[in-house]
This record gives sequence, C-alpha cells and structure tokens, in this order.
Amino acid sequence: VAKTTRIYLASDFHAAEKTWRKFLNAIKLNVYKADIALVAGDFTGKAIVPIVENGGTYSAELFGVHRRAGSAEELAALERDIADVGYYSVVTSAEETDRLATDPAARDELLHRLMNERMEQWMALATERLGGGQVPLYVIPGNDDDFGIDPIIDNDAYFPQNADGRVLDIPGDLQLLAYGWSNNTPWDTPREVTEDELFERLDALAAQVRDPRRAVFMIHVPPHDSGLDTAPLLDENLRPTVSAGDVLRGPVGSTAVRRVIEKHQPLLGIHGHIHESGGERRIGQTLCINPGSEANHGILRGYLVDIGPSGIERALRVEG
Amino acid sequence: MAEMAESGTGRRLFVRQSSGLVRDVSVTNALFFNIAAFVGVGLTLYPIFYSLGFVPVWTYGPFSEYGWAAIITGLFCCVLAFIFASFTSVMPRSGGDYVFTSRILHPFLGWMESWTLIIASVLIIAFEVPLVLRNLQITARIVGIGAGGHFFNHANTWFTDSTGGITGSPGFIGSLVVLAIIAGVVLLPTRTFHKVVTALAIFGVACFVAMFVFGLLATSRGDFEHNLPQYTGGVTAAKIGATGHAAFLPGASHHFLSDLFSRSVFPFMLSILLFQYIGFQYSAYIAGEVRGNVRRSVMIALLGALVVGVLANSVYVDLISKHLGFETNVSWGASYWGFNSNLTALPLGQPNAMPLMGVIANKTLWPIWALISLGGTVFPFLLCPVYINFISRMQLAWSLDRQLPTWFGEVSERLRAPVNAILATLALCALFAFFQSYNALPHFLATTGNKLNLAGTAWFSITMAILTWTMPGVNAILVRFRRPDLMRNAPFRGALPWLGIVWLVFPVWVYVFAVIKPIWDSLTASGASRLTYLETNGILDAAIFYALGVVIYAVMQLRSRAAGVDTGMLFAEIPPD
Repeated sequence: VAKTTRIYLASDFHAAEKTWRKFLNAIKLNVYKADIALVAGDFTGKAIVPIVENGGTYSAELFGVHRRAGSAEELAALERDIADVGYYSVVTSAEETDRLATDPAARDELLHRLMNERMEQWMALATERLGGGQVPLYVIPGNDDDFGIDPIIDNDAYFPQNADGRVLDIPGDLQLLAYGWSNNTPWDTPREVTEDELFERLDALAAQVRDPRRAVFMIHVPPHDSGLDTAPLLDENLRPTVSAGDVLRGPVGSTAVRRVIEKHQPLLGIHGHIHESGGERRIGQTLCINPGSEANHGILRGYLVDIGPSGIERALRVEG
Repeated sequence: MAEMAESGTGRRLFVRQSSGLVRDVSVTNALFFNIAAFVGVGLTLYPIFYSLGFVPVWTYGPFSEYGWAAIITGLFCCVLAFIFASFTSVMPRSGGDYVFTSRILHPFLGWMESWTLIIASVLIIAFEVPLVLRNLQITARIVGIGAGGHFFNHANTWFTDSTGGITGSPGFIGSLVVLAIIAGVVLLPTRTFHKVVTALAIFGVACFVAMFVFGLLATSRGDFEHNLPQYTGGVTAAKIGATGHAAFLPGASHHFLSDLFSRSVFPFMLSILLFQYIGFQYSAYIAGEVRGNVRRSVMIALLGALVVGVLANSVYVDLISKHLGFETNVSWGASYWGFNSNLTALPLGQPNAMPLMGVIANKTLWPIWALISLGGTVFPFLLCPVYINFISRMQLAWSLDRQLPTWFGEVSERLRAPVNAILATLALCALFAFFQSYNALPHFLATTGNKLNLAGTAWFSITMAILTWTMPGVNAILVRFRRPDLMRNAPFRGALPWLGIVWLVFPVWVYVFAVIKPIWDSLTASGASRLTYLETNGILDAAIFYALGVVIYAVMQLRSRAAGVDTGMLFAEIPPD
C-alpha cells in the first residue's frame, strides 16, 4: 500500500434533510478529499408534524413556534423546514389530525410510509450526486431504523452500498466489518438483541476478517464505558435524571462491542448511536470514533481518518 | 415498531419512541444553574462591592448608585438573553460562546473569546478562594462574639501572615487546601458531584433568605451603632461613615440622568455589575438538553436569573446596608479594599459582611448569623467547582477542534471527566493565588508590593471579559450574513441585528469609559506613575494573557499544519444544495 487512504464518516442523520444534503455535497465537491465515505446508521426520523389545511392556508407548529403558509411556495418552504430538522410532515385536515391523535395504528402506518419515502428520496439523491464518482459510500441501518428501509438501501440501482452484516474489501487494502444492531435499549427499538447474542454475531463476523490491523469495524452502537457512549441516565419513566441543573450521565454502550474490540483489536472502530457523546478514544490498539450527531440542527458532524501503510496517521473531527 | 405518542402540547407533533437526542433539562434546573454560577461571595459580602469601582457612591430614591447600576445592567442583559435564546435555539451546543463565535465569525475569534472568558473565570475563582478563608474567619468571629472563646475571638489570625494579610504564606497554604477540596469535589463521580453541589446550593439559598429576613427584622441600626465600638476599639459607625465622605460619599444624586450618563463614574459601577452578573447566561451553554420550547425555556432561565441578580444587587444589599447605615457600609468596604486612606485600620480586621454586622446588632441570634456566614463560605466555594466543570467543557471543545493538543481534553476512563483540563484549571488558579500571596511579580507588573491584590484580580477579570460581553452582539449583527443556513428559522431572526446593536451599546459604553479611557489616560499621562494604573488594576496582566492567547493559537495552527491537519477543513461550510 503506497498511499494514505482517507475515510470520511458520519452517523445518525435521523431524517434531517439539510444535513444529509450537506453530507452528499461534502463528498461530491471533494471538500474533505476523502477516498471512502461511511454512514454508521440511524437514517430515520422521530416525529411527524401535521400541517393542517384550512381554507387554502396551512398551519403547523414547529418547536413551539406557530407557522403559517398561504401559498404553494410558502407551503414548500414550511415542509422543507420541517424536513431539515428531521421531522416528517403531512398535509392534512384538522379532522384527520384529530383522528391520527387517537389512532396509533394509523399513525404507525403513516410513519412507515413517510420513512420509506424519505429513504427512497435520499438514496436517489445520493445516486444522482455521487453516481459515477470515485468515492464509494457504505452505509448501515441503525437500531432506530425500521426494517422497511432495508429493501431500499439494498437496491442495486442506488449508489450507496448496504454493508450491514457483512465483511467487505474496501479501498486502501482495508476490510470493513459493518453491523447496525445494538444491545437492548430502554426504547425497544427495531434492531436490538441481548449482549450475548450481539457478541456471538459480531464475533462470527470478525472471524471472517483477514487481518484485524487492516480492518475497520463499523458498528452502530459504541463500546460500553468508552466515553463514546455517555448518555443521560433515565428514570423509570424514560426521563433523564437531572440534578443541580445538569443531566446525570452514564455509559450506555454495548459490552459485547467492547468485548469484540478488545478481543480482535481492529485498526479502527466507527460508531454512532449516542449523539451527544462524540469523540475519539483508544481501546487497546483500536482507535474508536463516534462522530456524534447534530443533524437535527443542520450541523454535519463527521470525522476524517487517514490510514497509511503502517496504520492510522491522523484523525480529525470536522463540521460543516 | 416503536410506539407513537402525542406531544404534551396537543396535536402539534406526533413523536415516536426512539433512542437519542434526549432533551430534558427543566426550566427550574437551568435557572438554578445560572444562579449557582453568579452569586459567589455576594451572599454575605455584597456591601463591599459598593466601593470596588473606587468611585463616589451616590444614592437616588430607594437605591444606591450600585443598585441603579444593577437595575440598568439587568435591563440591558435582558437584550443579551434574547440573543442567547435565539442562538441556542438553532445551535444548542456544549461550549457556548466558543461555538457561536467560531462558527459564525472565525475560529480565531471563538478561541480568543473563550480563552479570555476562561482566564476571567479562573480569576474569579482566584478572587473567591481567599474570600472563602475570609468567610471562615468571619464565621468564627461571629461565634466568638456570640459565645466567646479565645480560639474564635482570635480567628483574625487564622490564615494570616505577620502583616495580618490573608494572602501571605498562611493564606496561600489555606487557598491551596481550599483548591484541593474543590478538586476533590470536581473529581467526584457525576452522581455524587451533583448531590454535593445541590446540597450546598440549597443551604446557600436558605442562607440568602435568612439574611434578608433576619437582617431586616431582627436588627436595628441603633443597636448596631451602639454595640459596634466595643468590637472596633471605640471606633463608631458615624466615624467610619465619615471617613468616606471625601472620596466615596458625595451624598444623594442631584442630577440623576447626568449621573447615569457620567463618563467618569457610573461606567465603573456598571463594570462591577457585569463582573457580578457573569454566569447568568451559563445555562445557555447546556441548552442542548433543555426540553420543550428551547427559546422559551432559555428565556425564562436567563431572565429569571437576571431578576434574582437584580434583586440581590439592589433591593437585598441596599435595604440591608441602609438599614444598618449606608455610609458606614461604603466606607468600611473601601477600607477593606485598601482604598480608604482615612480608615487605615479595618474595623474588626474584617470586611463588612452582613452576618457580622448582624451579630453586632443582635448578639443573641449568633447561631443564625454563624449559619448564614457559613452559607457565605459555601456559595463562593460552590461557584468554583461549577466554574471548573463549565471550563473543562469548553476546554474539551477546544481540544476536539485542535485548538489545544488532544491529550489536553482526554476524558479519564475512571473519573469520566477531562482530568487534564481540570488539573490545568486548578493549577492556573493556584498560580494566581500564588501571585496574590507572594511578592513574585516583576516590578513592571505590580509596583505595589510586587503582588496581585484582590481588587486588581477583580479588574483583571473585568478586562479579560471584554470579548465575552461584546462578541454576542457582533454575532447577532453578522449572523444573518455569515450563517444564513443556521438562522433561517431562528427566533427573533428579524430583530437580531437590532438586538445586537442595542446590546453592544452597553458593553462598549462600559468598556470604553471604565477600561479603555483610563488605560489611555494612564498611557498619555506624564511622570513616573504613568503605568501605575495599569499595574495596580491587572491591565498589564490582562495584556499578557491576550498576547498569550494569540501565541497559543498561532502555535497550534503551525503544529496542526506540521501534523498534516488542514484546520481549514474543520469548519468548512458545506452548501446543502
């Protein structure tokens, strides 16, 4: 291997339109001079904002602020604003909004549809902007992503490659082990297993790796007690515990991921999941990185990692 | 599939249950955070701040000049609260001003603003630590006055050197012990840390209330004036008050508006109030965790803290001071700072702490006064770990942005905290405590005894805080041009430039006439005392730290470049479309 390979990684976009567009442009415009791009999971959003139509005007509430649109252009701007913060919007009537409020199944169905629509749009946009380019984009779903998006990111017509549950050869004489599931969380998200099960799956994948010192383990959930997994400690009502004006925090990562990293000592660990715990830490010989996420604020957080013949040359946090 | 639920606000948002992005700091918590960050020694020692500006203190209506300055500063700070509410709604980040300025204007300005804020904060800690020792002495004196006992009656000799100064060797050792205890608190596991801080803060707030109630209802001026001479070797309250007439007590304001727009007196008082208020905005730095409507929550927390700050620095201190003798309080405080040449012997050898005056007026309640005084010890102590915690967050942000070596911000696996950053902060505090205690500064930095005095430390801190107070206004004016993408949906986005201008008027006025003009006057003066003002007010020390900030930034840029790090990439703004 003669040259340095630069990996550009980000995670946890959570349906934030603007940040995803920035990410694609960062690759397309060669802002970071990356050779490989990676996304460590969690594409889908968390909420729907109903836009209520009433006599040709549209109204919605975004972050406690009442918004009104009186024309098609203003409606489009409102929808884009809602999408930029990672919410889904639906134009509906007051009656339908009331019905949704009392019908969990209908909300569930609507959310599925909106998630899949956004994912289709994103994969299409990625293909439009990056197709034919020199920078491969490997992605995985995260624990928050419903299984409905899998066929979309698996679609060969789209440029991004779904690396979930696989070990792939990637440029730079490197291998990528990728896995989007997490340990059990209080939230009962779609892709969760017990720590033992997670370890077995990851260990089996790691056995396929030729040389861990030339391997990148992209696992959505960070290793337990690594400093990359510090999140608010929750009470029995899933509310963060607060004291003296500050949220009490603790490690919520996976012990299975930590065990796999300690056992196999890959060159690089790439994680996401805990948005507020971005940073870089060493576990043995492995440099583990969580870029963190502020996607819902329109801020694109990422990391650049330069890997040369003798290992990692530098890691640099970037923000766009 | 995760369950969906309505938001608490009705049918405006349907939220699904999922992990991440948890925001649940309540308004009360944020308000409490702000209050804990700015009260400090004021709880019992507010009256000494009347004279810290070394300018005449007039009265008008129900308030002193200091009280009016507190009200006016508070009103302007409301504008700053609006600016912060807007910024934090769209950039709710750890790192506060550093993040805002580095992203809106330039990383260098963000670095300088936060570097100078941290030095200002460290100076405030250095200012507070000896006052913790002072408050211990005062508490013991209160016990001595109430219950007697040689040990307590001679508490003035605790932590003091042969000159009686608390900043000599014994004081320095005492300060190191206090810093060690602060370090012990800061490095506690998170849960324990918050329990300790909460318990101490509740005690401090209870003391605030007790001082106000008992200070007004259980004492009388007559009793205070009658009893005082037996503790001051016969010096009466009237005599103490009279010593300040020439320099500090011009009496009532005859031209209120003219006095407010004075360019030689009132700006100094305003700058003291900015020194007192720094910290009211700190919850804006944890806005990422504030739940619900961030704008509304941050506004309530900041404005609520301002209300407390204004009341504490006007109604609270003025009522108690007037109740026991305003002129006595001003002159006594000036004597503590060493400004009152007509009262060289400090009454009781202590500053005019409110519970100390309380025990003089009403000896039978000495346990209550002692408890309140202990609260006066606890609050400045409490401020220190809160500051260090906040400082370490900012240092961590620097480290991640390569403004400092990465090892500096490394988080200890065991302690779950950026230990190197915390230790560096404590070391800097110890360094300032050292320079306050020993004649170790070169003559050109400190002509008076070659050491940094407490008033000098306060002014040093005020000078270091220029960027902290001014950059939010500049950011508010320029953000729509520099980061339109971030501000497209910001609250008050249309009004932000005007808010920025209105706010800037205030710190610019204060700093021009309270800091820059005196510096200019000093530099253009003739004679040997040309640099005296700069030396005795920490201005030269501040200049050194400003220069040091520039040097560190330049070195880190070169270092990053040598390591192949393109720092230009760090903040490259990427267009979404």
